[in-house]
Amino acid sequence: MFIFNLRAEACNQTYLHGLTLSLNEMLNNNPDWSYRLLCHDGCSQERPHLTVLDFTAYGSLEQIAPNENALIKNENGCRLLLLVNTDNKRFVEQLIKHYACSLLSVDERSLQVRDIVDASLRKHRYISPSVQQIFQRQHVPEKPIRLTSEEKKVLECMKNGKNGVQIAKLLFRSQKTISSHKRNIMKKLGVKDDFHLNVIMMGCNDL
Amino acid sequence: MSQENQTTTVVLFEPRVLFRNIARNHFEEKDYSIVCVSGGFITEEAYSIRSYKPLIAIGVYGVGEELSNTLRLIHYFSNQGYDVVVWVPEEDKLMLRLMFGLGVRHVLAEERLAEELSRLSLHQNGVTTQAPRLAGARNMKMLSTSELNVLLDSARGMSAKQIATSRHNSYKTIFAHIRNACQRLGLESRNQWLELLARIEKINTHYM
Repeated sequence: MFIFNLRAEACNQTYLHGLTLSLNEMLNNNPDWSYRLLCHDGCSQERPHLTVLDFTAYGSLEQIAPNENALIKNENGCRLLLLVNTDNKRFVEQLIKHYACSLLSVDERSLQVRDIVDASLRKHRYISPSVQQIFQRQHVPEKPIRLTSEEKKVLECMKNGKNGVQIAKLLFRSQKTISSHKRNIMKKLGVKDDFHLNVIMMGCNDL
Repeated sequence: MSQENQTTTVVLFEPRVLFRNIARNHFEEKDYSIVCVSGGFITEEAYSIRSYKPLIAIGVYGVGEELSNTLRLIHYFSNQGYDVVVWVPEEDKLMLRLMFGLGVRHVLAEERLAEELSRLSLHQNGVTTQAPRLAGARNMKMLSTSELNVLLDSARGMSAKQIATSRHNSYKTIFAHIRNACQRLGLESRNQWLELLARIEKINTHYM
């Protein structure tokens, strides 16, 4: 009987719970297979086949905790499974490029947990379908959008939910100046109305 | 309120595997019979639902391009007095408010789904305390069907003029719907309205 050792580090209980339920289902279909959830310290002599790290709360590479960074360096790429949120496309893209870890999106719709187990045993990298999708889409070269520093300030204020009048007071400019900045931003982003501007502002954190 | 001690049926609509596992596990433990519906099927299922009056459980953030239909159904079934349970990310206050505005009585935080489900007590009159507390607004009212439709059309990027043409209304009527919707959802500024629209749009296009 083969026992698959799984370790989770500071993982959101909901995601971990969901994942173990998937594993349980696999357990029912494969009686000669089992898995074990290792605790943090006690059984240190046993090497986990797969360590799960929760990166859903992070927005950029700098936010990754030092001990997690060390873990990433020590462990072989395929021995680590990072849970990510596909909302933050840029961050996920960075993870794909800079690390060799397996990636699983927590809002995955078609998940075969068997693939994750297989990949980690065969030392392949596992990338879940919706993460893969981001990766493929990002390969389309886009013309970078260059905003001036003033435009960036205005955009930042707009993200914080300020309206034109408030921004004007905050930046000591006239309303017309702010309005013109906003128009230029919209022109550069290629949007025609406030709704699409908001959709874009919510989609990317790095403009 | 009489036949509820027999097996309750749950219609579960949650395309995200991890969350679906949790919800299904919870309802299985409670011996509910579960009907899992998948995308596109939700509208069809809605017709047969009326015959057995189940509990409806929906993970709003996972429904993707089915969002508009799903929101309409949530609104409809809540209005008909069904028990509807939804879960959304806790930090999305605007979506929490919208759920409340649709008349949902049980809104859970999806980050702690298992815990929240186990605390859920159905078949009680009135509103579970979570929804208004989480949304940070007390005096909220339910949206009318027209207001919801205008909201969903706006979230598709239609301007008030376009909506007016398609609904055979004056654009002033559309503005009135929008204003009333904002009031009922407790939105204070145009920015919040736009943010809500952008969030709806984001869920809509999440899996595309």
